[in-house]
Amino acid sequence: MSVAQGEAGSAQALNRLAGLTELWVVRALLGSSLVSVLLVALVVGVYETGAATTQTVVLIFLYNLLAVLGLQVFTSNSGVVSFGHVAFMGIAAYTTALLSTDPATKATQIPNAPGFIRHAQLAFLPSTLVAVAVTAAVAVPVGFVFARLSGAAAAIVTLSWLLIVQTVLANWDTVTHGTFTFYGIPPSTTVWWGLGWAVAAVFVARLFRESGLGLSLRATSADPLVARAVGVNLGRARLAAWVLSAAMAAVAGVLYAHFITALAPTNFGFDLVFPLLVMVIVGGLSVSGAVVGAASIAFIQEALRRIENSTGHQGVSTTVLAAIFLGMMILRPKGLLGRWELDELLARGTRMLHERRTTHALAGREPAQKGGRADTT
Amino acid sequence: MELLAYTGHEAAQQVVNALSLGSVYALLALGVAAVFSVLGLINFAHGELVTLSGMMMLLLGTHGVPWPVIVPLTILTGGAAAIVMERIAFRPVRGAPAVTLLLTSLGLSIIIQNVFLIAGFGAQSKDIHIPDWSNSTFHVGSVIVQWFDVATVLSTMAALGILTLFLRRSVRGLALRAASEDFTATRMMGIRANSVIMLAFLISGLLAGLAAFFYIGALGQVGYNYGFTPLLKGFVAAVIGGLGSLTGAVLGGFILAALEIFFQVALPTENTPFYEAIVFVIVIFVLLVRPQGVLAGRGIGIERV
Repeated sequence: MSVAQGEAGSAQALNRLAGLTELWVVRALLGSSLVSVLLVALVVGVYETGAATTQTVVLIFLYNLLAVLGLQVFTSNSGVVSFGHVAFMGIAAYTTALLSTDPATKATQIPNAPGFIRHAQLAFLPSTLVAVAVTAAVAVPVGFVFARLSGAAAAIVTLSWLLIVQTVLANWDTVTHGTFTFYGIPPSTTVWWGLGWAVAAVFVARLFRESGLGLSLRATSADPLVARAVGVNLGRARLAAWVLSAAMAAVAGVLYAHFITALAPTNFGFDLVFPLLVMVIVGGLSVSGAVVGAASIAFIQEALRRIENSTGHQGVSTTVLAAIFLGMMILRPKGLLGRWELDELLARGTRMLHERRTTHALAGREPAQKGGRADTT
Repeated sequence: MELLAYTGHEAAQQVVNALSLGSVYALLALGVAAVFSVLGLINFAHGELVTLSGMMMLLLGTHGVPWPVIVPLTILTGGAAAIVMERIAFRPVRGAPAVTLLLTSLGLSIIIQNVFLIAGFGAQSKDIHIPDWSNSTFHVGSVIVQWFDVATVLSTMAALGILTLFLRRSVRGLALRAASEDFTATRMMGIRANSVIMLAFLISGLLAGLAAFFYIGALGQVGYNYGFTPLLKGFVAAVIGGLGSLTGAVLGGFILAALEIFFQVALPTENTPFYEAIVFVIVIFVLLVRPQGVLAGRGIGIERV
């Protein structure tokens, strides 16, 4: 077997590989693997080397990341801002709290709750799954109502939804313990659970983005009329994204509940909405963007919080966060990564590098000169 | 059944309450709608204009400034702050997609709140002492009326009257109305974009200042985060009325107040806390049935240039 034959064979294999990446599933899986590897490396690295406070920060980052990925699935693909995802976190957090807390603790807090709630004591995973299912079930009818709206209407309706849920949580005394803190939730959230769910969420979000539904949803965001003209069912695409993102926000809510171990309705208010939105928007419209946004904002927040504690000035961290956000809106409204995924940027970078080298070889002159690229194409 | 047992004079009492509350909501909604009709911007920082005016009231009040001076200064504070806001934050993003505008105003709102918090105001809300006469009441038959409510309703009517005259009779007012119909065509007619937009923010700010006087005055205290509720009420009322329509905004304010008071009274006592949730559910359904609002304004689901 000659060398030339071997080269031809490997070229063929490369071509086949290139052909495979044309498939959206393969592209999505490769892309999310890359992001996941980086994420796992970052989290494990920081967690294993960090002190106890740093480990707490990592846990906070992980449940925030899940909420951000959930929001990304809806907002970044559809172009519709939602203030209502925190409501789903709240529903899931209370559901898992009610299902997993020790019945004796529940008897003192909510003695008049229905029997199946008072006697329930599920383990962490089943409780999580039930909470996600309940939240998704709530999200379906709500989504039917919301799927048609965008712009200002979506803003007011999702905000209304958040306030409705908050009012119900605060006043359904027999089940949620009303405005009082519901305590005694088992502290089951570990970094491994958080990381596992986060990696799963990265895959789910990326698969959705590349799928037919995700593509059509992104089309509606770019131009609703044109999308409709090519046969996109806007309502269906938005509803699918809405329910999926609610389910992801539900996981975030569950992790939050079992991390903080005591819940009050005020935990799921407008105050929580803003940092999550900042993370989604600052990162960019892609799944990698959401991860980058969540990580960088978490880092900045923690740094600012330490400054805040040492100087005793309350509110500094939020102000700086909002200022960063405002600057971003003015200078780079598409976010750090824009609409690109990390792997897409990587592929683009290597392609450009390759083209430059080819040009260089062909033309025999510096590739920086104008028109250098046009010669080869 | 319970409603039938409701006597005439109790109902009349609630109507008085609804009128007073509705006036404040109408001012807030009008302020939100004035900016939206021209720019397509939902200004989340509108509530902070109310807080800022309220703080001006507090500041002047604690320094013993007489009330006839405090009132105009409170209103002017709102107007001036709105113009500064436009110049610093909204001009750089002018022409950006509606979502960017919305998020910019949200970021601005959060910044201002936290600046209040850091700049010595602290997390505690502070009491404002409004003049005693405003707390005094008089009777019409068996209905108790507070002088403050009378002042609220009358001032709102006066403000609406002046605004209507301005919008209908002056060239600048005409330009503003034209811009809310079609901004591009208005600019082609030789109206400067900056002047129209500044005017919209000025009106919005002055209305916020006036609303602040009655809203904060009725609460009797102000804190760094007191802007959220008035923003929400104004926003919801404007949406009910049809965001692009100024008349609709006023109507929406009164409808919202009537709904709130109705459910506070009509719900059985143990369910009263749910009145806000029910009002929001109604708002959502209003939007679904008539996305353009009760009085057709601009379709608010459609993005503006």
